[in-house]
Amino acid sequence: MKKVRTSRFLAVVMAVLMMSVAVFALAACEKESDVNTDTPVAGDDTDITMGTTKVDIYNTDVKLLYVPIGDAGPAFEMARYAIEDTLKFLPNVTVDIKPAEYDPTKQADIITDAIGQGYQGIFFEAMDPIVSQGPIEKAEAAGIPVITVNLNSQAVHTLFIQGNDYKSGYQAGEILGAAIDGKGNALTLNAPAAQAATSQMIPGFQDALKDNYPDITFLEDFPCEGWQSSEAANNMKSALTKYDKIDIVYAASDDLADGAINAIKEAGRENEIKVYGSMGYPQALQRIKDGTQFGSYFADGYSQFQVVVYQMLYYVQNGLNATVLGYTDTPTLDMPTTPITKDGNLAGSVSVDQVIENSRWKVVMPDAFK
Amino acid sequence: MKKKLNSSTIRRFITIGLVIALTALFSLLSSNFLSMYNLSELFRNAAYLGLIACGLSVVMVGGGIDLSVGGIVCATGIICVHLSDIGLSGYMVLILGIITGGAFGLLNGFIVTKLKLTEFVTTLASGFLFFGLGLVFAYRDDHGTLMAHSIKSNTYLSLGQPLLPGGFYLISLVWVVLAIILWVVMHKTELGLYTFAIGSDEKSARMSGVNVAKIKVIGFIMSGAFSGLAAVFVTAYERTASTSLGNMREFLAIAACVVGGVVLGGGKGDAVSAFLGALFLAMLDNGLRKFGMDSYVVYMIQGSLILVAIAFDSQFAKISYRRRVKEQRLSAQTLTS
Amino acid sequence: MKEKILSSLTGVWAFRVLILLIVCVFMGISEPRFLTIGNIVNIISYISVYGIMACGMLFAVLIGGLDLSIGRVAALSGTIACIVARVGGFSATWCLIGIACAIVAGILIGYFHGFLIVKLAIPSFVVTLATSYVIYGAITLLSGGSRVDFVRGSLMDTISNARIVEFTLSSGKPFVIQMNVVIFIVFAVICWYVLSKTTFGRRIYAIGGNTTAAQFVGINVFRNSCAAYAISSGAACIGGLILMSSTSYAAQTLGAGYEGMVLMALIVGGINLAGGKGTISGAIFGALLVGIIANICTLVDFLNLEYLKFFQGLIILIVCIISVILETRSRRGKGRKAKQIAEMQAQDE
Repeated sequence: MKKVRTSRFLAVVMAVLMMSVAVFALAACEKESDVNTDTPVAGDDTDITMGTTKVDIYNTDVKLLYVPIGDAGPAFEMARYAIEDTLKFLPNVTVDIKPAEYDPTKQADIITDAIGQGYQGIFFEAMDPIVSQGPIEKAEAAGIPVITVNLNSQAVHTLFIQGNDYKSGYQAGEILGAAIDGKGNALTLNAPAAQAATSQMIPGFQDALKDNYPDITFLEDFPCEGWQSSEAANNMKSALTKYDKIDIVYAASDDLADGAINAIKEAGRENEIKVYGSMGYPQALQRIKDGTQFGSYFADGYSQFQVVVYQMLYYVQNGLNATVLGYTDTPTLDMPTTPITKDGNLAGSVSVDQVIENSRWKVVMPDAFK
Repeated sequence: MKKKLNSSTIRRFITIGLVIALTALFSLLSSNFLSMYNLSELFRNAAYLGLIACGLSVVMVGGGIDLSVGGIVCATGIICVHLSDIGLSGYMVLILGIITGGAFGLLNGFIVTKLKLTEFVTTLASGFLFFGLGLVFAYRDDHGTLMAHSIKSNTYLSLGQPLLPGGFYLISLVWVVLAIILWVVMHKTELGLYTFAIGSDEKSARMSGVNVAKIKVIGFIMSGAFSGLAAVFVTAYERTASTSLGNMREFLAIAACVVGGVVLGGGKGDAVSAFLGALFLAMLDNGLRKFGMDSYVVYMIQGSLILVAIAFDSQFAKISYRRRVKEQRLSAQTLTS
Repeated sequence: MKEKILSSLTGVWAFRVLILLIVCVFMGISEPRFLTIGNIVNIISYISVYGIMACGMLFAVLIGGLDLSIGRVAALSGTIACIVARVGGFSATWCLIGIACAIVAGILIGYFHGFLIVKLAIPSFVVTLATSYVIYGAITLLSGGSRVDFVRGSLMDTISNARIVEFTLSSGKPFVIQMNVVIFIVFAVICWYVLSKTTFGRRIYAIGGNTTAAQFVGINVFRNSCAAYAISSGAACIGGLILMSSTSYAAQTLGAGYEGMVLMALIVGGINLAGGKGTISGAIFGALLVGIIANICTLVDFLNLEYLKFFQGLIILIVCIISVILETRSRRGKGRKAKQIAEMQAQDE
């Protein structure tokens, strides 16, 4: 008797839940069906009206927002240093930094949140091209220029400034292929599985091998959890037991390259394997100089973020953004991706000494060059 | 005779007080906090966490725990995007999303009740399983690497659009309504009564003829279905399902429940507690963002406030327990004299 | 005697050995390189950090608690050690001071946890979750958000990378055992000794088994629980130092997500999360199985590393289910035997 009653109650409860949800959904969908879903909704109390306001950026306060992926790592440090350095001569400009803690949803929330708060410009690395779409559209509709850095979003926005991932991977393929005369086995260490979608380095590398060096066998691609070099080292250790002959290793970041180098050194095979990293972190530059790492590519973070700030000020000064300018596609500024090798003698690469001298790493992270 | 407030009512007032205090604080410190736009975003965010927390509260009231809700959100979100790609409309996806989430919950319930694993172990492992399932089903390009994939269906996308021109999302409305319905279910039906009974004392509940296994399975199905529902709305709002969807949400949802007054170990609290807890956490997150503080200050304030809220609760529980014991002793004395 | 052997054959040890054997045979057939000595050392080296953390967290779990802050504590210990050692330019003494500071900080955090959990009666789950936020903020505050490098070749480097045993195998491949493996083994042995041979260990089991009873027997629950949480945080610190050393820098992201893996290792190792039941050997078995699954996913071609989480969840569920079934069976068997004995005694009387 009791059993029957409970199950009846269960059925009724579930039915009520389902029905109420469905009714609400239907009501909402009917209401929304004739509205174009692409029209974003602006905040109520944004104090900027579209395109008409020109701002005197040297005398009035300007508030910008930077939403980095996380608040750790050399790339972020360089960005922060570049921003602070640039702002030294712009006392009335402030840049708030609100890290997204490696969560695309959180990043989108921070940007959405910022729209009603009087920020005049927003720049960030879009962790997910689609999740960032809604917030960008809202910000642009509210008259705020949005600049994405390194990682693009699908939404049309004011500017995309990139150090080209795909191209740097392609260059790495060309240089490593040439270094082993187009014959041998290749291996890659990739971004964490969940973030592989946003990084295009490994596909670029694979395409370069496919296009130019048909004799190079691509062995395997290992995702490395949390971008951690310890994970890269573990993967490399397994790869070293698994494959008897590995000639080139391409890593999606210099931290991963570091892990791979440690593993290779432990196995005593450092003479046989060439490791190429990405991003040109200071520790990697030192390793290239010492000869333990074959190469990397130099992403000039300092210039990049200086450009971001000034470009943003240009938009703020003239009251411009993608909506005002009527963009249908996001314009792109490609930053140079310069391959680094020890002597700079391979196709298009520069020597590591030149990079150490001319990058700001010696100022930002002096400990790395001891 | 003056009617005394019982301890759970007082506990409810404490949570409401916390929420009001936070609202007052933030609206005094920031002019943007009480704007229509911010409130609608706040309620959308709170609803995402809150829907998961409301479902979870059923399991937690019954003395269990569900650490797989984050994984369920991830897997269900990605499955829903696939479903809409087959050509199903938004409503179908919504219903199938709830069913998928419920099915994941059923799996948890099956393992817990039939295979006799503890809730913690089952859901921790199945959480990994569901996150992994999300990666298995994720969209990939020719190289085999993951790629971003937009939702195409217009009806599906409209679920994530604001209801009014000024804001307010469907998810917030659904959250409020479901929290109330769930409150009614927990307090006015046998299902709720039995859940409380199991949470308070599983053995005596079983002795008095409650079908413990069935109630537990229903709890897990509820938890899964609510997570599935949250996943549908979030993917509709984000226009995609990324593989990092739902990451760490299980811990936040549990924190929301506990802050709201659902006791770990069961027997106390309900959906409204989870509702208030989620609102508190979302408000904390939203409000702290209004100031140009360094990120570490935000982390520290968040952590400490959660601790303080819960320490407050545990101290209150201790005091009310002591008071009850004293009262009982007094009444015993009057009886004997 | 015969019964003893029989019961050990059906007991938990037999089950563990059986699982490891199945995995090894399966792997040995499909991937012969799995059973090379180099690969086995790789697996042990991989689990050294997890293993140390699991051994430490076992103490917290045995008294019926949990420690979800270990990942953050690990990051904190690396950061503190590096920042302190940087003051003296990474000389050997300053490195030692740094390491000592890190471990002391960890132990203090553990005591703080113990205070909140026992004195204020807040569930450990929430306490450690909330403090992990605070600790994350503290790391960012200390390091200024930047990663802290240490000088290569300093004492920091040797914590994980020093080669203790090194010779060339007959196949021409080098055989290396590094410091991290040695630290892991030493730490595990110490934990085993403390848990099974000292009165402190007995008290931990007693508190986990029945706190009220322990109190009545005269055990100082507060002090012993604090010590257990301190050991958990201290072990996380040692793990964090190894992690920092092998990563070659300290940053707030190190060790993120380790708490989940360590919990998994403990669960697979048959440790009862309600407290009072579990052994060091179980914790190490769990860590080993987690390590082997990760190793399998990198070694075998048809298993993609991206699906690691999926396999981990699946295998752990299966192992837990089997072990629970075995346990209930053996309990039933015991119950039946007890009944038989009781009946026989009744007949005798």
